[in-house]
This record gives sequence, C-alpha cells and structure tokens, in this order.
Amino acid sequence: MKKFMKILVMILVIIVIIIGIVTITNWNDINNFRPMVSGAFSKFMCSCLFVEQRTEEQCLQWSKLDLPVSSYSVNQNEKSVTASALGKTSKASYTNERFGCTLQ
Amino acid sequence: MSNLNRHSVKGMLVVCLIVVFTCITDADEKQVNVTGTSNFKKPATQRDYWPTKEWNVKKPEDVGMNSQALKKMELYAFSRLQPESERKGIRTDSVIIVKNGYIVFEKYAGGFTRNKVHITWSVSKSFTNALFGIAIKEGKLSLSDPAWKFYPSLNRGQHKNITIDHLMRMSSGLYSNETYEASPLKSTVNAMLFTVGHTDMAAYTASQDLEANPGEKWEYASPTPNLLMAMLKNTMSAREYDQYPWEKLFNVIGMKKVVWERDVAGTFVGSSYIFTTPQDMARFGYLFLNDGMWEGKHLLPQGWVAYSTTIAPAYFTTKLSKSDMSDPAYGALWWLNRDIPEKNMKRAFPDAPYDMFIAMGHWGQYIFVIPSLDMVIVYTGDNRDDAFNINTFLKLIIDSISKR
Repeated sequence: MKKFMKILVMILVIIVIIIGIVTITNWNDINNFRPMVSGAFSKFMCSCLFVEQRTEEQCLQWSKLDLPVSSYSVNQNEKSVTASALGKTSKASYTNERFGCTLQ
Repeated sequence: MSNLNRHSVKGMLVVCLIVVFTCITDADEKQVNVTGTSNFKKPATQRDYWPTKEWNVKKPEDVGMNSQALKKMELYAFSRLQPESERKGIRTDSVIIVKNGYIVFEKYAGGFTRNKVHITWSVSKSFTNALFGIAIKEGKLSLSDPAWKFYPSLNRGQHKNITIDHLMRMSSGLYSNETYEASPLKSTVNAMLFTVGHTDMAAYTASQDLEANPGEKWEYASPTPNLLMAMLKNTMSAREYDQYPWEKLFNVIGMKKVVWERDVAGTFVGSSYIFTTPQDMARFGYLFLNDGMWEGKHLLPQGWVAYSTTIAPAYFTTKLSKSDMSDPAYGALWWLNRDIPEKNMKRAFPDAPYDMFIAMGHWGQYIFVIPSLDMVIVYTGDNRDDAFNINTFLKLIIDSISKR
C-alpha cells in the first residue's frame, strides 16, 4: 500500500512539474489568451443581437464557447454587450447600421 | 479675335478633348495581366436583365432543372435533426440557387429570412478582393506595388519585398497560425480578432516576423486581408474610405443590406466581418460569374476574375499540409475547385465542375460560382461539425440539371 502511495505521489509531482513547465514556456500565449473568451463572447453577442437582430436566446446558443463566461450583460440602450471570463472583461458596442459592432 | 486665332483655339480644344478622352478610355480599359492559367470562361449567354433592383425568379424546369430531383437537396440540407442547444449535424440557414441569371430555388431556416443579414466570416475576403480590383482599376494602386508604400511599417528588412500581389495570394511570408478552436493559444486569427490584435488588426499583422521570403510560401492567413484593407484606407481620406465599399461596389450591384464591421482603428475587417443577405451574396457571386461586368460595364478590371481564379504561384513551391491537400486550391482571395497534377492533387469537390470557384467562410458560409453551368449557389449555415458535406450538396444540385 505504501509503495502504491509513493508511486501515486511521484506521478502527481511529475504531472505538476510538467504543467508548470508548459505554463512557464507558454506564459506569454496563456496571458494573451485570457481576454479571448470574454472578447469573442461579447463580440458574438453584440453582432448577433444588434446586427443580425436575433433573439437573446438564439444569440446565447450561437455565441456559446467551449469555455464559459462568468457573467455578461446586455445594454439595450447603448447597444453594447459586456462579458467577463478568466479574470478579464470585454465590451463590444454597436456603432450604426453600416459598421455594426466593434470590440473595444 | 482673328479667324486664325479662332481656328488655333478650336484646334487646341479638339486636341485637349482627344487627350482627356484618351486618358479616360485608358483608365476604363485598365487591364490586369495574368501569368499562369485560369479555368474561368465567362458564360456565353447574353443577359436579358441585371438583378440590381430585384432578382427575377423562374421555375427550375424553365432553366433545364428538375424540381423533383432538387427536392433531394432540400431534404439533405434542411434537416435539423438535433436539438438547437447541441449545435450538431447539418444546420442550414439558407440556400439560393441562381441559374441562367434567375433564382430557381430559395429557402431559409434557423430563424433567418430573406431580409435578415447573416455573418459571412471569410467570404468577406472575396469582397476585399473585389474592392482591390476596383481600386486598381481606378489607379489607386497596382498589384506589383510594394506593400510598404501604403503601410510604412513594412519598410524594414525583407518585409520590404512584400507586394500587394503576395498579400492577395496569401504568399506574403508573414507568420500565421490559422487555427481556431483547435489550437486557441497559438491561433493568430483568435489573437487578431479578440485579444492582442483586435484594436488594430493591420498593425498586428504587419508586426509579425517573416517565416518565409515574400512570394515563396503559400499559407492561408486571415490577417492579410486586414492589412490590405488598411493599405486601401491609406490611399484616400477617412470619409471616402468609410463610403468606398458602398459607393463603389455594394450600391452599384444592388446589394440592399450590408454591414461591414471595423476594428477600433477604423479599418474594415476584410477577413471576416461582412454581414449581408443571401440574395446580396448571390449578386456578388453573379458579378464574378459575369467576369466583373455589371449592367454591361466593367466594374472590375479586365482580367481580374482570371487573376482571382489563377492558382497562386507560391502554391506550387509550398509543402502543403494534409488538410491543405484536401481543401480546394487557392487563387487570390478565392478558393478554386481545380485538379493540380503537379502536386498530385484532385479537386476538393469531385462532383462539381473544375471551373468552380468559391468564397468560403467559417461554420458553413459559401458562394459557389460555376461558369460552365451558368450558376451561382449561396449557402449560409451554422455547421459546427463535419456533418454537412459540400460535395454531396453540390452533387444533388448538379444532378437536378436535366439539360446541360
């Protein structure tokens, strides 16, 4: 039993070390990636709601990403969508009928 | 004034008029010379109307197609079997078939209707192509111009050698990693659209290192059309630029509803962000089907469609990936359904003609232009997996043509 526990701990340590190395070597990419989910979601939702003029339910289905957002809000007055995920917040705003939405 | 003087003035006026006329004619006759071969051959039919105002409709039988056979395509394309929330299977939003200049099939689904715009994703790249055709015809720039001339930060090292032609043919050599969901951390598309590059996509593109000498390596790279659109911006005033796509292209061919989103820097996102209706997408395809002519006039330079449908020279010198080998070949911001014996490549959609060229966008947005069948087919959808088979879809349509 003790031997089994030792092996298990060693495997866990190796996994943690590998994750650490991958994180350090890709830190720049990981850090750059963090606004991806909130950015994509807010932009998708803004264009879906205010350009394609679909319902919020349809837009939520369409905008759903593999990683979920922690929160989002739609401001119907200023026609914008704000979303948060992975500790980052992004906002996409509707400009006009020609230029649609822009991720700020 | 003496008679002699009057004659001299008249003579000078005539000479001036001839010079002005010659200049105008030269500008109108601007031609693009193509090296390499294109499979494009304009349909020989004389058009009896142009769909600038409205598309005219005919029954499939009136243009040599069989309605019953076309039903098979309808059953195939419009079969949303899975729950909406799962986003699986074939999820068609619209299909339009234009044959011999007439709409013979039109259907919408997924909450979309005739007047609703749909995101086109990378179909936008082919619109960028058309705007460059127009700008070149106007003499604002030329294919052989170095890119730095219109985007000064490229005036460095080997970047100096990038031309507009290289960018049009995805052969600039600028580093690119065209992955989406598959490798989100490394994707330059995601970075450009949503993270480090989204405020000024052209600046992000131009900041990339070269991974090959300009003109030597073909690599599909979404950032490049955004660099092109920023270069176009630098040839005119901001006000003119904002109106340019509508005044020079969309309004001319009667596109009724177009939204073209910009980044924070005010550059049109030439890679991805045109939203328009399927009928308007069909108008755009019809412009290319007719060799860039509209209402009897050359909107695009002569030879532009041949240029767009000629395989990018760097394509032949590039070691293509497995997925590149199964994709269609590439021209200039258009995909080509061509066999390439030199690379032992069969055309991507074997049941569609070899002269078909395609504007293709993420999650299933397409404009198929088939000159040999005098057809434009528009498809929009939300296909998140591989269930929708383009070849099957096209085969079902082509099989319904009883008279060829």
